[in-house]
Amino acid sequence: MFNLIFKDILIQRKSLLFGVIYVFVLILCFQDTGITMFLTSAIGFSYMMIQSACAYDDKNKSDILLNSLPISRNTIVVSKYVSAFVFSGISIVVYSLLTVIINLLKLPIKVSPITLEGVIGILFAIVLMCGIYFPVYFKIGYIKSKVYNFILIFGILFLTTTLLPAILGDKSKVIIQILTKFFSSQSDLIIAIKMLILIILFFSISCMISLNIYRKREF
Amino acid sequence: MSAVIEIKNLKKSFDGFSLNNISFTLEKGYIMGFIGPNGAGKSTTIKLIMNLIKKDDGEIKIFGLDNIRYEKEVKNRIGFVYDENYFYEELTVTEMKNVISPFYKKWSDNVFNKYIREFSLPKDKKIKELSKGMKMKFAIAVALSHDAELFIMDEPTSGLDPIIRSELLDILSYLIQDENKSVFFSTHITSDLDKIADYITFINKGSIVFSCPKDDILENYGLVKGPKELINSDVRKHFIGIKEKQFGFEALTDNRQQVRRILGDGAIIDKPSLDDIMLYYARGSQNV
Repeated sequence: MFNLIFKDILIQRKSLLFGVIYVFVLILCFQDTGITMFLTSAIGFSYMMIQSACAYDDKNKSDILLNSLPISRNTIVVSKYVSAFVFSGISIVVYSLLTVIINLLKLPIKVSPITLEGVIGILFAIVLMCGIYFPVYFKIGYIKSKVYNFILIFGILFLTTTLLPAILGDKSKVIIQILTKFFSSQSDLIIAIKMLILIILFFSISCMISLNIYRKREF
Repeated sequence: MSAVIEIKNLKKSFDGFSLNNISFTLEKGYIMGFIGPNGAGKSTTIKLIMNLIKKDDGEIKIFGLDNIRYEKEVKNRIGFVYDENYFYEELTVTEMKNVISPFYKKWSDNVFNKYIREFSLPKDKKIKELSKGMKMKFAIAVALSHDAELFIMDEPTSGLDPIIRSELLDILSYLIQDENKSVFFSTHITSDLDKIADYITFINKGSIVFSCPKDDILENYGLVKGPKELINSDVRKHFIGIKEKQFGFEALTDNRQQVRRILGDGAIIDKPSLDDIMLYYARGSQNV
């Protein structure tokens, strides 16, 4: 399994360098936004790497190669899910290296520090996006899923920024109040644990759906 | 003798094409050529053996084991070469080898390096920079480096020049000297098989026409040529396909002794090539 993840990284050595520049540009763009800078650059970079690993697999028709090797289809699916965490890890490392360099060189650039809640936020976002994206990818492949991906990203944006406030109107304030109350009544640790359980549950269900789809796939 | 590939009543339907109840057996230690026109079902059969597509019905046993239930074990003992390059083009030869090798229980770097040297493959070149022949040689090197007992090759020679094709055939005949190794080789370049195949399995329109030793085919089949007057309904029923010209005819029979008896010395009966056999079967009674 680690071999497959290693392959996903190896194959995009070049984009790794591009990714470093990408994260740096995002840091510049998100000056004065606090934690958003950390979240956006790490999530963006991770998702980009995850996507392009899928793209390379699709382009090289690697399903035929991998499924001709003594690898079970389950391993192929599970390693894609694990790779989501590996890429999140890489993007956090890249971000932290950049912040260290910026601080060492005393560049006139503000950097948002890496926090635990930031890391949890990144994992949460990646799990959410990949949890929805992977089953579609395993069903129809990268090229066809591109359209879907577009709808997914803009759908989420539209839903959260336009549609929900429009429907809920003033009620949204009430909901936010209820949520804040709910969360503030519990300790951070409890919230973190609950979130973690939710993430794991969601990702496991998504993984099971993907396994089911991929076992039936024909190449 | 034990069967390396045993296929019984295999069925698979697609839109506009179906594999109808195909059955054949490859014994250990032999090379079987799997021939048929484009679209006859060769690749479909190979994909079914490799479990890349799901069968509708039937049985596939490799080394006596069900190919799906014992998928990993079976694939550990198979070396495969396909008609196209399916390796990651962005990786170098060595990198690709490093990704693949841990999956095989019996991988040997020594053997791999030996073939890389023998084939003069550049280790540090990216796969996309290799020529078609080089890519094929890389696939062969991978297939040979994990002590596989069965080699499954789907049109490995298509698009290769005669020199590389002949090299590949030499390797295969060398391999087969080890009586534990068997080769299942699909192709439509039948001249490759004249040299090396022990058995020929011919598939046409999703059905197996015959699966038997190559020598039997060349012995029983005949290409009959003669003047038109010789043709009558008696002899016609022994013809698989016939090509009628203005004065003469040319026909394929699978019973040359019988045809010889009916026609006597009036007709010439030649040994057909595998190409002739394929052509007459594919076209049937239409003008070939």
